[in-house]
Amino acid sequence: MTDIPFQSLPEAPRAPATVKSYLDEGHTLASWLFTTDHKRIAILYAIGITIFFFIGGFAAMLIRIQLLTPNGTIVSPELYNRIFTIHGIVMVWFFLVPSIPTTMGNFFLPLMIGARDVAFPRLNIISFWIFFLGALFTVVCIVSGGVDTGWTFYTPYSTLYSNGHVIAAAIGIFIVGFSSIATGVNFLTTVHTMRTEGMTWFRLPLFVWAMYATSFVMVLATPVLAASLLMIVAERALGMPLFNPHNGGDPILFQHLFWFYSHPAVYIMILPAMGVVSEVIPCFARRVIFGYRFMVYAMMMIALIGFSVWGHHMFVSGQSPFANIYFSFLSFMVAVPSAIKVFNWSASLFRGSITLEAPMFYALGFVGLFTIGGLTGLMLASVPVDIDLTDTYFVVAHFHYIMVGGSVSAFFAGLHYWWPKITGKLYNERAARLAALLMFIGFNLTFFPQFILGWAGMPRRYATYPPEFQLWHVASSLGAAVLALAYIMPLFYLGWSLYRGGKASANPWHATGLEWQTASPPPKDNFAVPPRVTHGPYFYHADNDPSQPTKNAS
Amino acid sequence: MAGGTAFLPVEAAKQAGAVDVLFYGEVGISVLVSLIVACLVVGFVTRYRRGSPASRRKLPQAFSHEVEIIWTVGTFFAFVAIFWWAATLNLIHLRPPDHTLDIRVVAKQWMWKIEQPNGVREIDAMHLPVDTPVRLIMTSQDVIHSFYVSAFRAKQDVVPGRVETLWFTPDRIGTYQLLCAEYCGLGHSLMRGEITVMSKADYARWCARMKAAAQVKTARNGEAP
Amino acid sequence: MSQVTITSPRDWQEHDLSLAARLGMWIFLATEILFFGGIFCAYAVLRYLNPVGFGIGGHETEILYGALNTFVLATSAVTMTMAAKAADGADYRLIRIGLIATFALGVLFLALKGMEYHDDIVHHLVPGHHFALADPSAEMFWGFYWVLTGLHAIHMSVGLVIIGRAYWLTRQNLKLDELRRNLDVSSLYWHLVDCIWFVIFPVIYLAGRSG
Repeated sequence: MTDIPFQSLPEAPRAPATVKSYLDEGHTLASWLFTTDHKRIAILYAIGITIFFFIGGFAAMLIRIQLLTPNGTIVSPELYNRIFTIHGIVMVWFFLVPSIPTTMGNFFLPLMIGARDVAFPRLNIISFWIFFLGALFTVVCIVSGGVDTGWTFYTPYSTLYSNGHVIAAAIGIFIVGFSSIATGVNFLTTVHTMRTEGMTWFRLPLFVWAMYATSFVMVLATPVLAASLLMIVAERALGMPLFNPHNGGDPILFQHLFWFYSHPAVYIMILPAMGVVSEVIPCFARRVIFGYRFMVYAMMMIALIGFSVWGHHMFVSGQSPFANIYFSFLSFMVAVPSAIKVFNWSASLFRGSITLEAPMFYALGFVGLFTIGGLTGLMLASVPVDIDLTDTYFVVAHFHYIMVGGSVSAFFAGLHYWWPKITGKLYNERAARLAALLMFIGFNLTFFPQFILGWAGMPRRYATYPPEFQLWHVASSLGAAVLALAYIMPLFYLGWSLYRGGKASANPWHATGLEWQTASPPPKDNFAVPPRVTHGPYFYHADNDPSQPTKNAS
Repeated sequence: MAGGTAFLPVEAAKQAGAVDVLFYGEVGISVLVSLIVACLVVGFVTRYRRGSPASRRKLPQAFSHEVEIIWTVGTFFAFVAIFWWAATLNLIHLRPPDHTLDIRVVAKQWMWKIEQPNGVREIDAMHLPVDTPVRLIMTSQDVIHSFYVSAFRAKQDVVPGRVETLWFTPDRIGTYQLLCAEYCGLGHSLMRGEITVMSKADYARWCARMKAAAQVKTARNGEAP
Repeated sequence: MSQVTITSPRDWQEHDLSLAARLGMWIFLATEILFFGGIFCAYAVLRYLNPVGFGIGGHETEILYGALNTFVLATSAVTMTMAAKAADGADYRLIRIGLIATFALGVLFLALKGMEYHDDIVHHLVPGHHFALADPSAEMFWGFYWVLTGLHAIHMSVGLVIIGRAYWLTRQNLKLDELRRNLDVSSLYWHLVDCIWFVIFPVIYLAGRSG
């Protein structure tokens, strides 16, 4: 079968001028709350995670205000402990883990593979309600009862010493875990069984591969968290001395079980971000991604090796030195595929034709900040250095560089990139770029000083601290104020775009990818006609020749 | 109360030097790599911005394959090398020397209880002789705490029901901050202590004085009705 | 254009629903294995640390009930498979007999379990203030007993609901394909619940008893 040269193809049959978009299929509240349309479910999730993001963000604001002075009195130590706990629980489980997969994954996975919906649409809406109600329940329990264990629930503090609604919070998180598992089951089955004709595995966009790898991790890791939380509940409610050393239990056992999930969880939080960036960079550089196959293999390797490095959270816990060597080695190894991806993203700019719209700005910011975060991870993987730096602000800075500098930047990249497709409206590019710049500056001002703090010896989870650390804390808090502003800005200009924004065409970015071959916003069944695929993704120029850009449907 | 530093931690133990070299070495590598990535990104964005006259010739397929393999293998070996450095340092420091000054530490919410080998007790304080290997034998009475002295680059979680050891050789006279580094509840931020490193002679005198005072106290208590 | 070549309009084709249902169920079963696996892992570690106490606790388990229940579940696996296989031949009567038998055996299991729980409570084998044995790790063993068998019983109850629904579906005018799909995934779930019991039985009832 010969490839038809692109230039001579007929145009795609144009969708009729008044395509009924998914937004117009029913305007009642019930049509939204009980929908099975993956696109509407994505929007429900988006509203949910935004609410939780601002709850977690509010907690962060209180933390940074408290830490402006060494003996801060904004909050009592008791309240401070509850605040950093709720910040961690809400940000990790109710914002970051769901963020990209449940919003952009739900919306675009079926579109990108040419399907009408996901494999199990009813499971999809059920998973939203499990997430939203479970998360709401957890937040209410924590706020009303004061959980102060940290999001890590270390024993025996959480089982025997902490007062507060630990059991309720653990049950709430346990319930929300089912949502993760359901989403994973749905996505894996969808990718396996619903790819449109011609969409072979190695023609899948990297975002789909990212959703696939993430789902694999969600499905296998989350149940172990469920088991760990259940055991905390069992010890508190039934008195089972599982982690009580005076009655035959082992506190370190909890750490192993907890981190066996929680380390893969961080890959749940970063793989989708990598998928988004891999979509945005080719579009705004107008060229194919560099090293597509290596990018795929790298993501799968990260998912796989990510299951065997959990012990690097426990280098000073008292585990055997041989365990330390083993986990250290594997932690260095898991960084190799990540490094490859950074090189490939950079190389994808070579001989491109680049513009810096907001999505690209965020995506390039991701590359830089993820690189810094990842390199500091190597320092933490080195046992002698980690002995000094673990449980200090160095670790806090490290994971915020990856989670916030990385994942949240990528979330905003995807949000802006796909905004016209989701809403049918265009956002104000100047406002978006300003917000992106503010975010980049605010982020670095907030978290870079924390590397210095950690190296200087400032431990984590301190409500008050030795006075010599104040300078860096003030800098960090100032940065946080800028960052907060940068996060609030999109609410305004994106909200404005919904009401007064320009109308978006089907493909305002002239991007490749099946999602751009249908109307903005898409109709309920995604495509007027089931698409058939004949080429790989990122077909921005034919024949590996950037001087020959292909003609893209607009 | 001993103060730390705002920027670079002081090196007050024999192992601190090697740890610092590793750390600064890794920082150096990180800065280098970050700069390379930043320059590549900024450079490419500038050179290949839309409408620029830079050449956009065809991308050779074989070239891209070779480049991929080179930087994959290169990264792998670079990371193995850094791991090797770190692991060697880790293994060197694993076993304490045969003769150490053994000090018992019991952590509890929210204080450090220290017992010197001659029986002298301290709370939230530890006096040590310089240039002498010290081995701490530690346990917790309640939750997990963590014994952290940044100046020594030493940290060890203190776990209830287990005995953990931590060893170091202080090599600089002075006072250094002890902080708890594992969240342990309400008083976690205040669970601090002061490590005083003195000359061997001073330490011996201090021990003798403390022991004598303790004996007087015991004798007086014994006489109490 | 991007990847797409539109040559002629065509209708949406159904993706392979049977494959999707089975794949989805297998993935879900993997999550269940990891969930119970995490708990079994904790059990194994704590048993290794407290062999004597776990042995003392284990000796008090009612091995007759456990063995009977194992037999009941093994039989139910046969009847469930029978129901699923009967769907291939469109033998509705056999499907219904298989489902009823499986349901009955499941109820029998829960009844036996209930009787066993009653006995355990009477013997003060519930962790807490009145626990019968002095050794705290024996109490921990019994904590595992209640958690593992309790979770299993919950899964079994869900299984009964699934079988009940499957039976109800045989009375609706479903296409045979759809019924077959349902029976396929229902029997997969049921077999998993059985398999979990086949691990619980030796680990809780048999371990340490040969000495």
